[in-house]
Amino acid sequence: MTKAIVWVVYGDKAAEACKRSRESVSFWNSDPQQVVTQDIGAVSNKIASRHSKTTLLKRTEADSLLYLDADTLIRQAIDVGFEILADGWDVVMVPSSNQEQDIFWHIAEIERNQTMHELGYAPLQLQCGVMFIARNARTVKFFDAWHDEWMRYCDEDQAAFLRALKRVPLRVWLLGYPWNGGAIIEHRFGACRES
Amino acid sequence: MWIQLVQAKNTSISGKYIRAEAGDWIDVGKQTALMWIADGSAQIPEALDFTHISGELSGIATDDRELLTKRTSQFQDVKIEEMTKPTLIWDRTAWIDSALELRPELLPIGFGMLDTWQIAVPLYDYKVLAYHYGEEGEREKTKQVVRDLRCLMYDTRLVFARNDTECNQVFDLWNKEGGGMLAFLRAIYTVKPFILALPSTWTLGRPKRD
Repeated sequence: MTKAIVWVVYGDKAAEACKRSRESVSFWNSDPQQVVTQDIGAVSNKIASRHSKTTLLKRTEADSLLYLDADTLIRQAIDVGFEILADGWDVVMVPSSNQEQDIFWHIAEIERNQTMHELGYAPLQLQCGVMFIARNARTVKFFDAWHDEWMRYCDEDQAAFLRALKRVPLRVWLLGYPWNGGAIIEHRFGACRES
Repeated sequence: MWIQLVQAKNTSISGKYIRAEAGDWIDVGKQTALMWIADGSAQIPEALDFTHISGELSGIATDDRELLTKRTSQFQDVKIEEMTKPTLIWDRTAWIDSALELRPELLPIGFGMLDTWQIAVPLYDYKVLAYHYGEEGEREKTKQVVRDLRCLMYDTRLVFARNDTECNQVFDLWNKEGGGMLAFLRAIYTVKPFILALPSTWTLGRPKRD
């Protein structure tokens, strides 16, 4: 069972943040690290990063991945996330801190409305900036669906994630806020966004 | 889409600001409607028609039939069975703790989620972790199963589930372990069904009876 910690990095701000993120991981974890940064001919760093993120399983080889946004910093041991994957969960992640009236606040109105329409209910929003992912037939199929859904609007990836989850349900284990924006994994949301 | 307000709202319709009172019917965009339904401030007219969950294949199991029947008195056709513990009776069952102040408009949506998922359950609270909950002995027992208590819990007062092998395993384990939210967490972790976590607004964060 091979493991890797993975970042997707496009642009100078993201590269600088990723350097700090990698250093913080190295303090707590000795698994291989991989930075996905290949030129895919995208018109912007944002498009390139979302494109690469939603095709992550094609750009990596490890059996178990921890995907981290570049603006994250590891503050405690993270090995247990991989252990949960090894127990049989497909994805281990954390709900977004933006729920209810703030759901999809960063998603363009047309995609937001279409997502709500297709789901048929106001969903729990999941934060895709910290994800443990097991590579298996289901998650490979899910990532294909995620990329398809992202390609419909080519914007943010969270609404596309929920639409994909409806197409290809996964076994999702939900950790709490310390794992994304808390004591274990600090998340400086938006620190890498380019104006 | 047309919705009926449960709470008064200041809103804009066709560019005109209005105040709508509880009980008013207003026509709003679908996103707004779904938000307000989710947070309990509105309900949809079609949700009041329970015909699509009143067939032979779905129903409600609860610990107090009389109490729950009163709360759903306007929906005479929905099957409700009293059980001493959470039980899967029909192909699609909603287990509802009678202590829950039920929001009936969500029931058809919850049953519909079982088209895709094996179980659908609201989260308990985004800020309350298993680490914070219950007795030390049970927390330790739970940690042995779920590995890390800094995880979220489900509000087991409202559980939608299919009557399939995995869901029966979950319910059997949950009951065997004594019920409650930590026991449910252990059961879910052990069986690993395809579970959909719903927003905690589905149970409105009211005082729990766990």
